[in-house]
Amino acid sequence: MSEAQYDVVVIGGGPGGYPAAIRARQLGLSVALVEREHLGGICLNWGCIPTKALLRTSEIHHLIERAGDFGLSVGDVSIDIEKIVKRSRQVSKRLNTGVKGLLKKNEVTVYDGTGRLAGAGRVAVDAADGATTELGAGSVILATGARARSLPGLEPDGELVWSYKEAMVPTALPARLLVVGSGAIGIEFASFYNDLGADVTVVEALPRILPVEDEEISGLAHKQFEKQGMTLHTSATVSQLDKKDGEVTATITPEGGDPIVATFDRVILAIGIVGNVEGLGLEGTGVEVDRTHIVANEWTETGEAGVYAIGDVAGPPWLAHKATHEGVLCAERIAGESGVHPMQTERIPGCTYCRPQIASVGLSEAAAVEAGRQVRVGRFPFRGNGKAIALGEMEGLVKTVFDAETGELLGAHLVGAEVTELIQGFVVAMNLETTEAELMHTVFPHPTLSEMMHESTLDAYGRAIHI
Amino acid sequence: MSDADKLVRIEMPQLSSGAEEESEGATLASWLVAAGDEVEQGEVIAELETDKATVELESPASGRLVEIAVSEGTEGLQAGTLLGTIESEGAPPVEAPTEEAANSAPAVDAPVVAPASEVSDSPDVAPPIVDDPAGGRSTPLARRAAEANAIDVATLEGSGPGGRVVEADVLRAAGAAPTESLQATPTESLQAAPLPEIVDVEDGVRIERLSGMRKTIARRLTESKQQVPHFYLRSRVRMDEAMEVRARLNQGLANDGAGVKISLNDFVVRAVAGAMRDVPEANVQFAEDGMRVFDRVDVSVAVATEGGLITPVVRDADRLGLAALADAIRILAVQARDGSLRPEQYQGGTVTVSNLGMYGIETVYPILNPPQSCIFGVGAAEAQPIVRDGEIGVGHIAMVTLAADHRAVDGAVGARLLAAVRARLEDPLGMML
Repeated sequence: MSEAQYDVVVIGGGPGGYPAAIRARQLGLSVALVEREHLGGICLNWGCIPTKALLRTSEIHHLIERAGDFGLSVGDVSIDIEKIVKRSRQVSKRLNTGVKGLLKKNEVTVYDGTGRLAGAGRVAVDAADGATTELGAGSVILATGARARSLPGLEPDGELVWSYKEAMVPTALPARLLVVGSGAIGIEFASFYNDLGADVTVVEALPRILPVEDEEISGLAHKQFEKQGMTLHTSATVSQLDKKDGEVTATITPEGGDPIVATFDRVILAIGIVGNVEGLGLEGTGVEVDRTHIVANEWTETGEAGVYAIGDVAGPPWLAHKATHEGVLCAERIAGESGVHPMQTERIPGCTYCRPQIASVGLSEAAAVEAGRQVRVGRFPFRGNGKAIALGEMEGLVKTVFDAETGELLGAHLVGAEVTELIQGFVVAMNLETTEAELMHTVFPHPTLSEMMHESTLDAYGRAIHI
Repeated sequence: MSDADKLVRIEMPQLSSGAEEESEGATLASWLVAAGDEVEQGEVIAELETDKATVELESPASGRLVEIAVSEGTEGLQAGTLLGTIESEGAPPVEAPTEEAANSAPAVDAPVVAPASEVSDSPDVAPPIVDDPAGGRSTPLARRAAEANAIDVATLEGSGPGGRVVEADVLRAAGAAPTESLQATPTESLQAAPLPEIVDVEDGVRIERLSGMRKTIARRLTESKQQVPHFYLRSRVRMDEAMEVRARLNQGLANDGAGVKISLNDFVVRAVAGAMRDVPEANVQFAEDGMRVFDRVDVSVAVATEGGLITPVVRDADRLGLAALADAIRILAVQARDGSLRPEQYQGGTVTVSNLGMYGIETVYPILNPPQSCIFGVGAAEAQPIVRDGEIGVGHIAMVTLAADHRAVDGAVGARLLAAVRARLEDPLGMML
């Protein structure tokens, strides 16, 4: 049987792999994509997308609880957890089918199975039934993503101790929930379960929750979560999980303090991720792996000629949109397109869909100062904005950081309702190399939350009108 | 309207001086022409009044005044406000801040903007938007950086989308700020110089493409040499004390296991920084619209790299202890040589020190590093006969030269500055205070 030959073979069909494949096809290359489980990857099937569907439900539940504020009286609200989960699975399924359709439309040949390097210019696909197919590949793009990390004593068991996967498909709502790790994943689950009525405790090893965000934003979020009834322990670690009779007793040790012992119905572990680098046939090649991630340069090139790495498997930031962008740039690079620019990580936004939402791009105030910049910082609170007040969403802040000498927008950090949709304005502005002047001269529509972006900029220069 | 006709904006000029609070605006007292009239470039077409004076408004272009946007008697007009529009014929006027490129269709929807005025230091006044005459060829940040560095953005090649000029392109062009044409062939870099692109080969002559850095060095130094009235003062400085103190300090540092070693040049930089404090009248820069007087001392230190000379800046050099200063300079030099200096590390500076002593040079006659008004050239400290207490002895003498911009720094000020440097170098322990 003659072997199939492709210009590009993509291993992994998630938000890095499938856009890379489609882009490569747009540029006229022949492309095969190898996927071992589900097209769309974790993002679509067990990550970004289903969690947004779940969080929509908890958001609505929260609004229903406040219905009285808005002049509505609602009877007893009942929560059908099965239906909630089912909806999120349907959303995933729909998009998964969508990706299949897109790959078909673009004439990408999809192979079901586990892909690996099999010598220079060759990729082997091991199917579930044991058969192996070999493909010839001009270039290979590794887009195998990542999975949840475990630590000794903190391993998911699929029953009482959950990873993100089980957390996404609960069969019942836990009454008492422990979330270990306060990054975006942990906090989103904490928020979801809290808004559906669970008693939630979050434990974070670093001194503040949401450690990658600007300090001030972390602090405001922390206060809000406490007001919502969550218990938060920072600078604390979970040293032990004792399971018995369908319950988990955890030992939470704050730094320099006495251990707290508490019992929970379920535990969610969200303590980071590790790249899927095993079984890829990297041994003996020039591909380097550093602490579970494939080392790739700003052009997504690895140490082996013709082999590229994109997305979560290639390191931080572990964001789907970063993976997509890398996939596109990789395809363009392989196709020899001119004018391809490497990504600028400081212009990649990050969004967390808890309540209140968090969104940011660029340097935090502290990072800008540490980098030696003179800064001007603007702040505008939600309670000063007409639309926010009308919506009844008074908690939040829009914070902007400018370079005092050049007016360059260095960073924007937002917390509050809908900020994940607002952040794109700042990201676009940054990519166009705005100064504060252009933002000030932009007319934002009224009444919107986006006006706070304008006022925050004005505030950085002592010119805010509404505070 | 033919392609050659353009609409030229008549704008309210900047009338208040830069240091003032936000101006209350001027009044358009009277129009001296009417809509429909033909006007000549430079012709006085209106009278403007501030609370201080009456000012004549000259037409920015020749052509027909097609529209008067502001009527007589209107008050509170800010700089940049559109006053009227001229339909100009043929050649573009010589200087109109919001001029479009010669062959493009008129783009009249530019935002309300002040003509490219200086960036105000006042915290309450945001710097204006700098218009892009070539429409979209450069980013706002790039144009501001170009303004600040007196570079014409239209002359740059852009690395952004569609060839757009981005900030990095401007800073790269501005950053290579060398200080003299006497530079020896750079011998200090440990890296192999990247081979320059060969453009042509004639009989025994190889023509190499000019790098961006080389073009910038050429342009800035020519400007400096041609336009700035340089004068030179020279002083023989006895370096024995400094050399002895240096040896003792380094011994102490070595005993403590500190990684840093202090060089004689570190002493010179420290002395220069301190001297700029002693003689603040020298810590200035000439500009047409006003003398820039600095209250901080940032010393640019000349470093030879394989691409050319670059001058990274040590901020607040007068506030650093000698060891901290030595460390800062060492790190900047390493970064300079491997090309990893960030723009904010080589921009600015209120005085430059260029030391060629390590090549055995006796006297350096430096070219000023624009827009700075003072630069020190330092030669080798060599053993020479000296007179001490009426007796002939041997001392180490280094020739320190000050080149200064006579528009900003007069002879006496320069002399006092050089004397202060010498005094500090000859009494290094006094510098420790």
